[in-house]
Amino acid sequence: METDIKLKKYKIAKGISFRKILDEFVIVNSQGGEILTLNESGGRIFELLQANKSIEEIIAIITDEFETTDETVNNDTTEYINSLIETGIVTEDD
Amino acid sequence: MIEPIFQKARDNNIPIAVLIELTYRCNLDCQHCYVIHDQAQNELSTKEYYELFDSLAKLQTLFLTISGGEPFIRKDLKELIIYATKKNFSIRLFTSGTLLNNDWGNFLREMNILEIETSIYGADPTTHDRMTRISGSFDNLMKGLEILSKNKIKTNVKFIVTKNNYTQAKEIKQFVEELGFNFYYDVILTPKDNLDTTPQQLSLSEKEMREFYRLIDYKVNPIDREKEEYICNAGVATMAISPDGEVYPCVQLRKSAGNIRAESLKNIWDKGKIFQRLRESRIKDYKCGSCPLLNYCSPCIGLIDMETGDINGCSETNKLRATIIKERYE
Repeated sequence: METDIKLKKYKIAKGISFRKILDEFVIVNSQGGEILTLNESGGRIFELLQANKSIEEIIAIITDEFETTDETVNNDTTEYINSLIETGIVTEDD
Repeated sequence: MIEPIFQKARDNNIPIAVLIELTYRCNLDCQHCYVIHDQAQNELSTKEYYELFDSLAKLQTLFLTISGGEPFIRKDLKELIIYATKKNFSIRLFTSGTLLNNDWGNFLREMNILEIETSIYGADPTTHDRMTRISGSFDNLMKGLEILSKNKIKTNVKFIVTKNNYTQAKEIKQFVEELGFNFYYDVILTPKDNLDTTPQQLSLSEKEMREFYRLIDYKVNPIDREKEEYICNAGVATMAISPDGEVYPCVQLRKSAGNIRAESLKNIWDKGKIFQRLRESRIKDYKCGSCPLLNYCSPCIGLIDMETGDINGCSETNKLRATIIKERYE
C-alpha cells in the first residue's frame, strides 16, 4: 500500500448507528436498513476509525494489541477497511 | 440478522430497544387513541432527555423509538434528534405525519432516522378525518407522506382497522404501496391508559374480522413458539419511558418499574420489580403456554393485563384474532 493511502483517515459515514453490545459491535445503516455485527478485531478497527486514526496508526495498534505480525495485520486491516468502505459504513475524512 | 441480536439482548437482559413518549400532547384527537391527552404535565426537559440518552447508551440501547402523543409538538424535537444521532442511536419516529414540512424533510434526511411510522385510518378524507376528529388531517398526512417520499425516508404506514374503515383495506394497501411505502395493519384496539374501553367500541366484530382477513387475503404462517422462551421482549430487552419519566416494560404494559427523576435508570432496569417478574417467566409459566391457539397468536401481556387485571390471563381481543387466523390456516 502506498504511503499516502496509509496516512489517510476515515470517518463513520452519515446514517450509521452503532453500539457495542457485550463483546461485539452492532452496526445499523439507516440509508439501506442493513444490520451487521463486527467481531472483536473488526470492532477494534471500527473504534479506531471512529477515533480518527489513520490506517498506519491502526495497523501499529492492532499489531501491538493482538500480538501478531505487521504483514498479516497490514493486509487484513486494509482489506477490512475496504470492505467497510464498500458497504458504506466508513468514508474518507476530507 | 436482527433476531440473533435481539436474542442476545434477551439472554443478557440488555434494553436494546427503548421507546420514549416525548409528550402526551397531540394536534389530533383520534377516537382509538390510548393516550390520555389531559395528563400533559411535567414533561421531561431537554436536559433531562440528554441525560436519559446518555444513560441509555451506557445500558447498550441501540434502537430508540421516539413517540408520543405527537412528538413534533415538542419545540426541542430537533435538538433531541441531533443529540440522539450524536449518541449513535438508530432512531424511529412515530408521528401522525401531519406536522411535517420541507424543512423537516431536509432535516430528517441528515439524521440517523431508520424509519418513520405513521397511521392511516381511511382511503378518503371523510373516513380518515372521522377517526382523527380533525378536519384536514388526511390532506396534511398526504402532504407529509409526499415530503417523506421526496426525501427518500423509509416510511411505514399502518392502517388502523376499525368497523368504520375495514372495507377500504385493499384500496389503502394499494395506495400506500404505490407511494413506495411499506403497508402494515393493526386490528387490535386497546383501552385507554386509564382502562376506559371506549376505543374498543370501534373494534371489528367476529364477522367483520373474518371479512377483513378475507379482503386482504391473509396468508397464515403459524409460528412454532418455544415454551422455554420469554413471551415477548417487554422488560427483558425493551422498555418504554413516559413523558414524566415513568419506566414501563413496554408502551402497553403500564406497570411502572420506577421513575428516572427518583432513581437511576440503571437501578430501575436492574432491580425494578415488574422487570424481575417478567425475567423470571417463560411462555410455559403463562396461560398462553397451554393454549391451543398459541402458534397463531401474538399474545400481548400489556393487553392481557388491561383486559383481565392480571398479566397471566387471556385477552379476548387476542383470542378472537388467533381463532380466525387458525381457521384460515386449517
